[in-house]
Amino acid sequence: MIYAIFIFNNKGNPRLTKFYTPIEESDQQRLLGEIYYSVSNRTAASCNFLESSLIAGKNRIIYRQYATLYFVFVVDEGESELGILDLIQVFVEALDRCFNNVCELDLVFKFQEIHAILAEIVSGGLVLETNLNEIVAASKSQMPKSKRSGGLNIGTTLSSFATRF
Amino acid sequence: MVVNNQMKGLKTFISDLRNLKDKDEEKRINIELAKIRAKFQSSTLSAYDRKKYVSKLLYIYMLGYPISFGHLEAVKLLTATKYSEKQIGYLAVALLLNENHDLIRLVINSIKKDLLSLDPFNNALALHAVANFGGREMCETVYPEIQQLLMSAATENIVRQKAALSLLHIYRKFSDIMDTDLLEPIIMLLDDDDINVSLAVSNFVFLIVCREPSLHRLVCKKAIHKLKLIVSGRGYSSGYVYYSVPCPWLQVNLCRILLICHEEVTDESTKRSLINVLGRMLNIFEDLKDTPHLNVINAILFDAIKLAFAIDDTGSLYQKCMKCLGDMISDKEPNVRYLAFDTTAYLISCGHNLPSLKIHRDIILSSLRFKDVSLRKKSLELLYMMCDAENFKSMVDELLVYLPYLDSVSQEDLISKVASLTEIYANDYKWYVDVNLQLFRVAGKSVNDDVWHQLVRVIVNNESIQQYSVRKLFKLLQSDSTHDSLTRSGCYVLGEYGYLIANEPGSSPLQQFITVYKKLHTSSIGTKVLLLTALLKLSKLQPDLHKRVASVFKQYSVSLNTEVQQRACEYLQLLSLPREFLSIVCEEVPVFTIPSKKNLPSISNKSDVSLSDSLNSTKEIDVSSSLPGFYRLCWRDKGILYRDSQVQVGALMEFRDSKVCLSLYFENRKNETFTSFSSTLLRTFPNLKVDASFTDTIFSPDKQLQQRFSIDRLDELFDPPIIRVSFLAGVVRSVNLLLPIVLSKFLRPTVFDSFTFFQRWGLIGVEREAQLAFGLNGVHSKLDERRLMRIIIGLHWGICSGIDTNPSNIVGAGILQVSAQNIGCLLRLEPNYQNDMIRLSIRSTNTTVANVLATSMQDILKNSFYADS
Repeated sequence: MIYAIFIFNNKGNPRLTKFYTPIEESDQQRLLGEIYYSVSNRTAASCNFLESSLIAGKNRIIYRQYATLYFVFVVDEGESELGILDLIQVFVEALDRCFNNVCELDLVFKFQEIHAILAEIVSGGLVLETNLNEIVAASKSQMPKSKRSGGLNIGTTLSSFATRF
Repeated sequence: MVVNNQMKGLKTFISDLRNLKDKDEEKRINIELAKIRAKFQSSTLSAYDRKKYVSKLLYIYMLGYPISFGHLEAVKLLTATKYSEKQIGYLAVALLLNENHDLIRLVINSIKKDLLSLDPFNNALALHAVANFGGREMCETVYPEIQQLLMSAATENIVRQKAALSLLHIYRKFSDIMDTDLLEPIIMLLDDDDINVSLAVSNFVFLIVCREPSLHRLVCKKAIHKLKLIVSGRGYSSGYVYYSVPCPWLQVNLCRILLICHEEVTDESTKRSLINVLGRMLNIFEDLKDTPHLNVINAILFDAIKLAFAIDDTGSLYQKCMKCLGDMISDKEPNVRYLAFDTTAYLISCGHNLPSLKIHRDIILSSLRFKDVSLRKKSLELLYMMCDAENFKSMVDELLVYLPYLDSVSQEDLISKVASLTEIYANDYKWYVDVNLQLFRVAGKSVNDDVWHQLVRVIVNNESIQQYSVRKLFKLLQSDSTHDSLTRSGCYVLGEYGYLIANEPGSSPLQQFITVYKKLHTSSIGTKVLLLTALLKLSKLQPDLHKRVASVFKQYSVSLNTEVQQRACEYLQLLSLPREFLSIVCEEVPVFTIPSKKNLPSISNKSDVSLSDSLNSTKEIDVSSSLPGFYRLCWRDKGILYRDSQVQVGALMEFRDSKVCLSLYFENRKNETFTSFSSTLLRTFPNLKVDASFTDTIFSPDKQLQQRFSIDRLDELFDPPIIRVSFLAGVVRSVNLLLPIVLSKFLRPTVFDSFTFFQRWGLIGVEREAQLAFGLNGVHSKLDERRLMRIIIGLHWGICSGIDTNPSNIVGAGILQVSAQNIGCLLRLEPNYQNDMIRLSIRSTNTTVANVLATSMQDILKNSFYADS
């Protein structure tokens, strides 16, 4: 199962943290720091997996970088590494469709909606939905019917990187 | 409405924070928190405002600031009529409340209401809440509704899939709430028309097969059927085709389920159809090899290969699998390569024979040079697994070529692996010495003490290589900069066997003396001490060295370091005594009788990889694989200590008077003979004796090997001993086992009445008390009253029932005999069943005993309540 999901930028600022297993509040921030440290020091030519023992004994960190953002999943032995890697891709593509060219600022200002989209993909630490159309439809139906405010669109969009792999 | 949803106040707040410097951020947040607190206290707060302020709190929380208020407001939002408000409420509750919070009952009520609601969105929110943080009370209350939602045909699929995962959460954490009759219908849902319900259910079924062997047959049938359907292109809608692969996540899950229950595939026709399906999956790889998006295909492939090997590792699929694996090992993409290494190492550890792998050895070796620490670790692990009695020499030689290019963490890892390989396979001690010396020379700083101790031991124990070794070491010592490990082992061996080369040109006693003396100034304290001893031994070689050595000792007899000073003074005294006396003192050391493997660094096939190059790995012995058995046997006298696909180790404890005996029974679970079977103590303590041990190193399937340990009496406190079991089954296998010999095994249970107990309790006093409060390890652990009692009795406490005012507390007493002294120990254990916490107080006439007992009990209790044990 998935123990935790983090999104942070290349400076280590958290953009989303979600735990599917109870973790003490004080440990949450420490964990974030340690994962940021180990992930941000890796080169682009490295693989996207790390073994660790940060949460509940042995587990693996699977991460992917899009523009300035790192998407990190901490999972146990039961999950397929490449499956999770593609799930991150699905997540980003869903964000991209929901926000029309998503960028880091969308994640900052609309963190509640990011949580809602994530809830369509992962529930209780397990993969719930992988069909992009379904995810987007379900997420959009919950979102406020507001238009994007133009002033926000100043960050680098992630979509140009979404097809990197 | 539109403006409301955008929550302008929140946006302004976030923008504000982003423009501030770090130290101003905290100030601004404190101001905001004060403002929000004031708002919450006012009686006229609109629902919109409440949502806005709770959202602000969430943002602050995400930045890492603790949130101490606003929980009630979050709970109030749950009952809001507007969906967006409810949504924020659920989000806040999930992030801010844990399952033991005071307000959880209110939350449960709201959830129950939303589950009964006819609006699927409300259902979904409530189901997520249960799946993500449902505690016992919540799960008990909402279980009937969730079951209803999952099983009813009237429910929308989008809700059913969520209900499946919520129910899985309940089954995982509190399986006693679940109706066991429900498991079969759930397995049936694997066949559901809706592919997404299937996916959710497949997660559920995975846990079922892990827990319920009796259902394997049913699961197996269903899973094969479903897999066949998907692979042949039926039973899913186009939305689930991900980069031209149908439902990859479900395929992976099905493979993993089948890997566990494949033994149920007994009849030929089922087996053949499964092999067909797998063959098709492997073909997909061939067909799509050139498409850009290979991730998803590879994901399936890795699991398909593992399954194919498990079902039939000789037949038609073998060649195909090996080809795929070979292609992936040589893939340029690091992810694929990493997983290919991982899968191959897994297959070898399962006992599969992969001779055709040898052609890829160079690729695996070259990966050692990669910058990526994960990949380096994996390739080293795989190479270690690939070693066998035939290829070990060339493998070690090649590993040594890479040694200079590695970072220090990988060097250390590689050195311990090479040292263990040379030790396991070496039949040629000359080669053994050469390899070790090369390790010292190239990467001296990464060699730890165990490795050079081992080398010295081998040299001392084998007369035939002594002269050769001392000659080699002497040559190496003459270089100006040698690392400590080389200096130490070199000087030790020189002191011991220097006389063997004293007549050779270039290594006269004087030259030996000069070589050691030169090292003396630049060495660390620990090395200096060894060098002084070496000098003392050299002094007996030639009378005229006597004076020079004495002057060195004189020089160091005023050293500021007491250890160095003491040795120098004592040796100086020795030199002034008659010569015969010196030669008795400096007589050659006898052969070491301690098992040679005693101090070798732990080698584990699954050693944890440290997070990054700069984090140093701790050099502890890895005993993780025997821990579950260890914890169980700490409070039971009989059981399985360790089991894998190849061996099983049973343990039996017996108590006679004050004597404690532990017998280990090794059983071979495979149908083949293992060779070089050995079991050696890695960690021991003075009172532990090996009574009897098997002498045969050949371990055939029909045999049971036995080893017996005993402790007559206790003179001091100790750490549980560790043994290492290693053998050859094609490749080297080794596992470290922690033996369940803990202090509490020596307790003599004693029962006191209320008066005596409290009198003694008071007499010992709080200052000699060890108190620990702790929760359980494992996410799904649950404290259980009956089990707890059994553990306490199993830990040899005499239970004094009915004397504590709180009936759920457990009070006990026992007497411990250490070095002929009776030490009284009293226990009071306060369990908290709601929160799964324990407070443990132990008072003893000896404070250290109390502390040791308490920490070891904490360790045992923490790990004895896993949901699946």
